[in-house]
Amino acid sequence: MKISLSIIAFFVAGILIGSRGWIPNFSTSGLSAYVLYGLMFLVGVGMGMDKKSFSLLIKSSWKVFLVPLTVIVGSLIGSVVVVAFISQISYLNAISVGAGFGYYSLSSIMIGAVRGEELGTIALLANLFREIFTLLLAPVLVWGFGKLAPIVSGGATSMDTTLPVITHFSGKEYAAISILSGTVLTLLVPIIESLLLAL
Amino acid sequence: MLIVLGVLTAGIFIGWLLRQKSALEKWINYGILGFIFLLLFVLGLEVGSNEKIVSGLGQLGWIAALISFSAIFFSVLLSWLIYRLFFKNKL
Repeated sequence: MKISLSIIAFFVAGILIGSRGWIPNFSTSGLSAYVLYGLMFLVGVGMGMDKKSFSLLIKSSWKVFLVPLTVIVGSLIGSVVVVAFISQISYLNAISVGAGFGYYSLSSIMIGAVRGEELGTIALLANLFREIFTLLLAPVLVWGFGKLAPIVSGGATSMDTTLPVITHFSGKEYAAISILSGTVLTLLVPIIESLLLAL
Repeated sequence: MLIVLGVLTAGIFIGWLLRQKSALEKWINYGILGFIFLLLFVLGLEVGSNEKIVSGLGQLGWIAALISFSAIFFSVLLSWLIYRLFFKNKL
């Protein structure tokens, strides 16, 4: 939670400084692409070094993989449905935002660098809402839709920031499923987003 | 964006080679966090210096909330089905 708040603080500080007009016509599209490559490289190194995630994936039963699959399919359907009601966003852009699965830092950076800061901001807010919504409504979700509901609501965050509330309201026996689902989605976000953004 | 996928793959390979050096993992995580702070600050600068976005921030927020809510709603609805079929009383 402390890290989430720091991330938001950096974004807000950027907006405040940018809106003062101290930096006229600030555009870093060239620079941010290279910084993004640096970030993606480090994310990759972290994935390659991570022995725990991969052994967790190998040991799990097939049923458990239905949980992240639910998040992928549900988010895809949800994003497409929104476009049917509002005209301000295209199908591809809405799907790209939805495919952040709550991993707002990485998805907003990737989307912002390729599709512009407007969609990057939407991606940041939409995926941040996913985390906040899950933190606030986990008990209601369990009550209405069963013990997997807060796990899929949290998406990629179910492995860290929303894990405590999920474990509390769904029960300890769902902690491993929550970590696995969040891990799978966290590993998939950079891959799915780069494919979507290449379209 | 395919370059990003290439860079990511190269990173995974190099990380796999370095997998025994677990002391490095902490620094990689700090590095990732530093990059994220920097990039979101830059994204904020770009957003803040663009008057069109600042004045439309409310509308962007609404679009974001709709996508977020709809994605959660359909994920949760599907999870209810999966829960009833495969998890409830079977875990």
